[in-house]
Amino acid sequence: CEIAFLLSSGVLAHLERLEMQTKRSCKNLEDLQRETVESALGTKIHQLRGLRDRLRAEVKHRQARVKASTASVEPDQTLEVDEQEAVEGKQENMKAILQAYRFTGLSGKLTSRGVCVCISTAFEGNLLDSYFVDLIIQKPLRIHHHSIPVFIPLEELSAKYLQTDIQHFLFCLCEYLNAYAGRKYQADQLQSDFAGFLAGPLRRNSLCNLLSFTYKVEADGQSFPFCARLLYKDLTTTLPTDVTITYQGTDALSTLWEEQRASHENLFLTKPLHQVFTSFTRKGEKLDMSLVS
Amino acid sequence: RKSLQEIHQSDFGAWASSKDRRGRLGHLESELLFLSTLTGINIRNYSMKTEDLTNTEKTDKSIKKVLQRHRLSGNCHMITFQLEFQILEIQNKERLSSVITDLNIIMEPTEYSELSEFVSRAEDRRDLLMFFRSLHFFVEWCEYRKRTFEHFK
Repeated sequence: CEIAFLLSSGVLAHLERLEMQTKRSCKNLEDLQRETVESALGTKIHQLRGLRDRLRAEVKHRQARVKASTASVEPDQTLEVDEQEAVEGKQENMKAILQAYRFTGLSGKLTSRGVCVCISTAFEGNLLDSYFVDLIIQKPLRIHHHSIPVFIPLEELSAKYLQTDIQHFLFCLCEYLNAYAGRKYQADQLQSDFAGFLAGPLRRNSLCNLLSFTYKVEADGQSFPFCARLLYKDLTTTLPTDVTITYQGTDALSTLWEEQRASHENLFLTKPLHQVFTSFTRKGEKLDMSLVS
Repeated sequence: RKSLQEIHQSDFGAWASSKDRRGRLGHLESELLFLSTLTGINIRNYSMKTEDLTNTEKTDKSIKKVLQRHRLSGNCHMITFQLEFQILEIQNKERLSSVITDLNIIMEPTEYSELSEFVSRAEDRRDLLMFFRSLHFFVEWCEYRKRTFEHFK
């Protein structure tokens, strides 16, 4: 009933008319505002363009002046040479540092597909062979090629660590290789420098963790051949885990010689192979018992 | 800490334009970053001088002797070190031998006695590998201990 009254009295129509008027005037207001802003911006653009053109002209002018006044000296080239020398110096320094990383045991370089790591080995200050592992960086990480000897457990180590912890993989490999290099060095030294002590060839496997040899110990004009068997069960060490020294003769050993035999076993367990023989040379026929400790 | 993949990927651009001088420098920087991350050791400076000790008057002319003097400095996290060592290279008919004849490790004194222990042991044995590896593991252990204690605070 209220709606009917509103309709018939034309109030709604009037409201409609008022609404339309407001919209129109709003629109007009918006238009006016927009036009004002636009023209203001237009003026600003014009002013900035003018400024830009003036600055550009100024820059060109100054450049020309600089070129003209310093044409004979050519400072641009000098600057470039200095810069080149600085960069080259830095490059040489960096290349030297990259080389120096071999002293940490691990060095290498980036390749187009990944990285080639070089593992250096050493034993008691003696720098020995290097080995490399060429890795391709993909998922999964894989070994492209390498120079690791076949008797080093490379597959086992890579299966365990390569995908999850590259650092650990390489540290382990480094440990195995350094231990192998150390054992090999000791065996080589025995063969080359102490061949006089050996009564027969030094028998060794490629991993150099099983050695057997017969050596002569002399005392009181007698020569006793001792048979030594050295087993290095732990492939990460350069000292044997098991040493067996046996006497080759048919007679039973005297107490003194039994003591010698036992002390030799201990010596081989605690000192590198070639050092044991160095001590034999130094002490002559008698073995200094203090070496046993 | 960047992973191996991240380091390699960021360098691929540098590799592609390796002819460019700045690209070469970037490539070297990436290699250094890779090695310092891998070994845990950051080598900042290195230089070497050589001295020819070959005695030409002696009858054995086939033996060549060279003495190298190396100087290396860097850091492993907060621990800085300076090394001076000598390597004697002897080349005879059969083989070339390289031996570290002297090793001096200079480090700032710390409260960790274990550090001084393995440093002097490394010096005695002239064992560079042992020095670097022990230093890295020691620092890692210190960091691990710190983190563990933080966890319990």
